Amino acid sequence: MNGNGVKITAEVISLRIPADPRFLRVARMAASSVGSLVGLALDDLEDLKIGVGEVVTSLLELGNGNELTLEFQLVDLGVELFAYVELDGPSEIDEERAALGLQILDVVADEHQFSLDTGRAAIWFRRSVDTLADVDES
Amino acid sequence: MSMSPEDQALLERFQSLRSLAADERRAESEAIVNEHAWLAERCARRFGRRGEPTDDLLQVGSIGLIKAVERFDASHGVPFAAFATPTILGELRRYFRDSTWSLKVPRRAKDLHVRIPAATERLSQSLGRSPTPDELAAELDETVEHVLEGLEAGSSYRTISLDRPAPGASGPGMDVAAEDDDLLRNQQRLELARLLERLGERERRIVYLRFFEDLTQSEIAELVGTSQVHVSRLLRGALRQMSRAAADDSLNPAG
Amino acid sequence: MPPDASGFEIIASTDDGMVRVAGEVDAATADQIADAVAEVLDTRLEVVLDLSQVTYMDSSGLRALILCRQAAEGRSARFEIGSTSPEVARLLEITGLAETLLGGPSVRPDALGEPG
Repeated sequence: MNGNGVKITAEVISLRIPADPRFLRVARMAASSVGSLVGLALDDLEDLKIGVGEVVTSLLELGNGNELTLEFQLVDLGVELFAYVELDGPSEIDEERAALGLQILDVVADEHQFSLDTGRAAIWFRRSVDTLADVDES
Repeated sequence: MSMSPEDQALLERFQSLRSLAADERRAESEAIVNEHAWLAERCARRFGRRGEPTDDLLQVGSIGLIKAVERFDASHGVPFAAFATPTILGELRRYFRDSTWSLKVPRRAKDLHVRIPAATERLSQSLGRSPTPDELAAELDETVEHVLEGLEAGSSYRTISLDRPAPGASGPGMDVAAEDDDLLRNQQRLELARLLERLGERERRIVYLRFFEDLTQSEIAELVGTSQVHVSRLLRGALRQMSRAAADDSLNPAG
Repeated sequence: MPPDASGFEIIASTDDGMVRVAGEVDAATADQIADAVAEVLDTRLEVVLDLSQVTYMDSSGLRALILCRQAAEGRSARFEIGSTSPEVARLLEITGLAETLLGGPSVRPDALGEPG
């Protein structure tokens, strides 16, 4: 492993959480655990947790009571999250919070993408290790 | 992963670096850095509020870009930008992590979650980066699960103790000598060194220690004999100066 | 308010105008900060937040802090964040909110003071 590539290892960890902010913590802890499987250091894990927290918070707002699905995928020295929620009506968004959340995600994630289809909102992001100096192959 | 012809051509330029003479190699890698300055700027833009990124962030981003060009291995067949972005972001994130600071680190009972910060600090110094949970677990003689629980139990991932006694002569965590053996890296560092010459002696030393020796601001503060706060301010000022010097140079290239 | 299983705890003291927050601040707990600050502002013209024991904060927490500052301003009261944890400090820096909420960069002078 060398941190250059983003080869997908085909392992997916899936989590469905009820639409309640009390479960944000569960999502964050899952993120920590998943991240520790691919060699992320503590700083990376912290950022991964923050990213997952922001994604889930935004989807909770949009989803208006619908269950969320989180799919963690292990990639080469990183983690990708794909999360989505069904939309079945208008949602109440705090725009300033959403803007802050987006900016935070912009910093903690290497790449992210939103998609808004009719009936579904989804957010994807990837985070890999920050410090590659130590992960050269021998 | 499918790659555009441009990505492929860039990989080939990286491959060809090996076979070039030293000054051609330097010119070519500088060219690659300059062509990707937009990437460093785009990464720097993610931080702070809207508007132009600050000079110090642009400079940190550039340093990240230079490191990415140094470290990129074209034989893995991945586009350069995909590798460079996390490298540049990593440099920027480290810059923020290192320069923020908390007041009043709490004292707690001697549970696992209290032993973790000290162990983290020890390992960070010897590894030159933050440790993985596995490494922490080995250091503390605990299971990884316990370590993760201990982290969740409410300790900060990194504590900066104001009244911790000064550690012994702090050396850099990373082995810079090995990197210096690489002529390519030396040449790129000469560019930064040229900009460093514009700085005062103290600022120059601090920038060198921070980006070439990868010391934390606290370690630099001890070496230089001042506070971490002052190092942070000096660093920002120095980076701003270097940014302006680099911008002036591009408008008025030497001979 | 006693700590819950996650360790979140908030203590509002109208005696000294301090609101101390500990643990994780997210959408589940951020509202309590605004409530605690309002409680203090009902009786005093100043509120000081101690965030040094906050181990996690996100956009919901930041939003709550902004609302608290606005609430204080609305009453011509003083709002201050007296201490931060590294997590909070970093968050304020990367979102560019350090100036508005802390009155300056989150790098604070140590106890002995620091020449400008």
